[in-house]
Amino acid sequence: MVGWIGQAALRVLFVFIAASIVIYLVNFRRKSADTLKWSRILMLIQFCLAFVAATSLLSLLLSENFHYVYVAEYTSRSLPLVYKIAAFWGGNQGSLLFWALILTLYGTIVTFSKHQDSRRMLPIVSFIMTLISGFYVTVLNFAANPFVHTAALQPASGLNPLLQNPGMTVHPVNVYLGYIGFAVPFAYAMAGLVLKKTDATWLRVTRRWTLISWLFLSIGIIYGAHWSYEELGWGGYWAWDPVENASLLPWLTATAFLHSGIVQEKKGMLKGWNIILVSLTFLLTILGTFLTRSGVLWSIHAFANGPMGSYFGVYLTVFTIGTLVLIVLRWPVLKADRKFEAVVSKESGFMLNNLLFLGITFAVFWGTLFPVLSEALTGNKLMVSAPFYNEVALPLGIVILILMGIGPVVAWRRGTMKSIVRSVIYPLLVSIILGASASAALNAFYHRQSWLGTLSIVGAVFVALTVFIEFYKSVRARVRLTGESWGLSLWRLLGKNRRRYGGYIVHFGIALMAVGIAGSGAYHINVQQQLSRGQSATIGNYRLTFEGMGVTKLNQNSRMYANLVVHSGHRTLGVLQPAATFYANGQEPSTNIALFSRPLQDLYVVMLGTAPNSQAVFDIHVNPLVEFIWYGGYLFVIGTLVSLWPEAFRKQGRDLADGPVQNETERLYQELADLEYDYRMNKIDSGTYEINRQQVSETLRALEEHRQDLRNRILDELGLEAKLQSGAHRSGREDGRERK
Amino acid sequence: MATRWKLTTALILVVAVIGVLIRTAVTHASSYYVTVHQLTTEGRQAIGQKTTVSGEIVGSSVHWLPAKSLLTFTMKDKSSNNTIPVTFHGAKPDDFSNNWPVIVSGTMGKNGQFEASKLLIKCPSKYKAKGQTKTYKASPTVKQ
Repeated sequence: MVGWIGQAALRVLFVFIAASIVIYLVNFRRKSADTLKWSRILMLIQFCLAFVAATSLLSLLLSENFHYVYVAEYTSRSLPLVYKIAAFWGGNQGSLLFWALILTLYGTIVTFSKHQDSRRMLPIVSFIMTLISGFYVTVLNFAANPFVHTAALQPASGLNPLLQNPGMTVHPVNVYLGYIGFAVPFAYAMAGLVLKKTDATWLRVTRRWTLISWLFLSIGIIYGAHWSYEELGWGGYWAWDPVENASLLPWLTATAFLHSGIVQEKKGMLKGWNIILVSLTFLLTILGTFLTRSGVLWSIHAFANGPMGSYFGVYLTVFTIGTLVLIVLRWPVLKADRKFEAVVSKESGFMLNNLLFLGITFAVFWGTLFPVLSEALTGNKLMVSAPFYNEVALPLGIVILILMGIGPVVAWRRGTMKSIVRSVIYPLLVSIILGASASAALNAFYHRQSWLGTLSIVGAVFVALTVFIEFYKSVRARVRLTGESWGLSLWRLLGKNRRRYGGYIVHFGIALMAVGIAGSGAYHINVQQQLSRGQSATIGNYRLTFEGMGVTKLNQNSRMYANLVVHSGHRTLGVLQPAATFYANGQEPSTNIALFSRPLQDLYVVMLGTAPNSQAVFDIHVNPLVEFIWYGGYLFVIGTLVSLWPEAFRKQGRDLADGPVQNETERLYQELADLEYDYRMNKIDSGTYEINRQQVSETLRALEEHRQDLRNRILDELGLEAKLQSGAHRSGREDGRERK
Repeated sequence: MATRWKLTTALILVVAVIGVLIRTAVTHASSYYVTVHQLTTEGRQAIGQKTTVSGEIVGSSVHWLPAKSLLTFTMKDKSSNNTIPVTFHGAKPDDFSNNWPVIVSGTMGKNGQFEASKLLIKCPSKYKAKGQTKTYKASPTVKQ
């Protein structure tokens, strides 16, 4: 019965979405005034139907109804509750349903929101969201139905043991939430194009959506890396395989977008570019899903394996072409409000940042699709291995790192080389000295040498230093101005400009991660050794003595472990127990690594197998600084949250002259504030400051006058209307309501 | 105008550098990507070429010598009956069972043995078509 309801909900949802599309189109054609009301109702019903389907699948999973193929394939009776829930998104069909659920949820939240110009924008936004949901619901109905029911009970195969890990509840959900979220800014960008509305409204409205999606995706990626490090037992955390790359691609373009969006918000430039970036991000999320499910990269012959691939292929093509056509048609209205004024400026710095991010994106894309592309171009199928990605991404990453240190000290509009050099020369020298000594120390300890490693540590120290200096200078300026204590000043400063300082905290997190990646990538050491009882292996400053094997029972499964006593110098640190789990149901055994984590290095031990005469073979790694990646990850999350936290609620007074004029005025006030900041932080000299300030102030004055004019005119006209309607029943009532 | 021009030049330069970087990296790290069937039909031509081969594991042929960290197995093709013997010096992955898809990178030896330096198997994530992959690199020879 429950399954029947779910199945029915899914079918009805399909029909309903088709009907919704017709209703939208009719409403658009008629220019109906009720379009927004309709959109809200349609979105809400879509979500309710998806919710019914999802709830019913979940209850099938929880009630162990093995008449359903999906339930039997991904759960078993003995499976702990949390993994029964996780099975919802653990498989293909279920994850698509999860996708449809979240997409309609996001769509509903968006359509019920209210912001500047929302009456015009929201119907189109929700129409685009409906088109996207329509695709997933089509696949769910015709190619990947989670509610396939059989009369006979299916044998339960259970969730693979490697997936039975808390990671299963964190990693995929985060990646999905991130992936799906990018549909919102995309829908807004398209709505803006349709309406020929190319100001930064959509950027402001969707900033939170973009940031939250980006945060989810980042957490998903970092957590996935951590999971693979602790679970898979090959000693690393990132292998550049197609699935990992698929999650990285939209992350890279979204990161570029987060930066270039600032330029449009502040300066009204890069409008077309931002639309391209947000579309690219959205399309890459579909491509990512396509790559992970279609088998394109694994199958040798067919382009798409089975119906799943062709559905995604069609979807991807349709959306790509649609987006391209819309962008080309609207290109003339995407003109920038102003030009680049100088080669050296924050604007051009952001441009360079974007190019580097896109460069990495292109390389990863090229490498991932190389087998397909090379076959299409030359007839021979070629593929690239991990060194390809490292050779491109690492150098570009280091350049980005250095730019991250320089960027904050470059002024908007016009910077000068001289002032940049003046501000970065000392931090740069200090970081070269610190970074070089750190890598010399690593070199002495691990006997590894790497230019890239040294450079990225230098870059990371540089970023950390500049972030610190930026905080220090701002707090000092505030302390001098207000006479507050340093602590209070820092707190208020964080509160005042969360976006800027949250961003700096994220930068600092990235610097930590860079140290971790450089350390574990360049100075990692590894030894494989076969040991008899009592024998020892030595690696780095550790000595591991093999003291024999043992077996424990875990539920029905058995776990074979080795005891390795770890010494460092004369100290005994403890016992590590790398193990292998053997499953009662005949599944292949899985390895369980043993980890001894210290802030500066991880000792990572895998038991590869046993040999006659109770010997065992171990794979032992020492990963220097790898923990910094996870520390950096935490900071990264904190920084993004700071940046997301709503600014102190400003009076949301709705001005009669709301709209473009007000936007421009607000932008100019912000520009004035930034100018003040640049000047106080010594990024520009007093001459440039005065000239720019006068310019902005004059424009602002003119605008304020214009705005006042506008307000008066509106008031006049309203007054006129009121006079005309005076005595009329309706207007009287409205007045009454207003007075309350 | 001068600003625009200078900026464009600078950006083109950056793009060119990135292009060159990608180009060199491709030549460093690319290899032919073939099926077992294609490799066997190439015959002697394939010897010594850096190649990546995809196929499936023949379960009964898997032989794992932990002492030497030596994994030998036969790879087969779905579409034909051709097989190739593979040796790999490194860890044996979990889930190394019959019919499991595998991708190996390395070179074909003169004796017809494929010497793999890298092994890639699908992770058991349960998407039907394709799951995650897991890479195994050849390890330094085991100390006895």
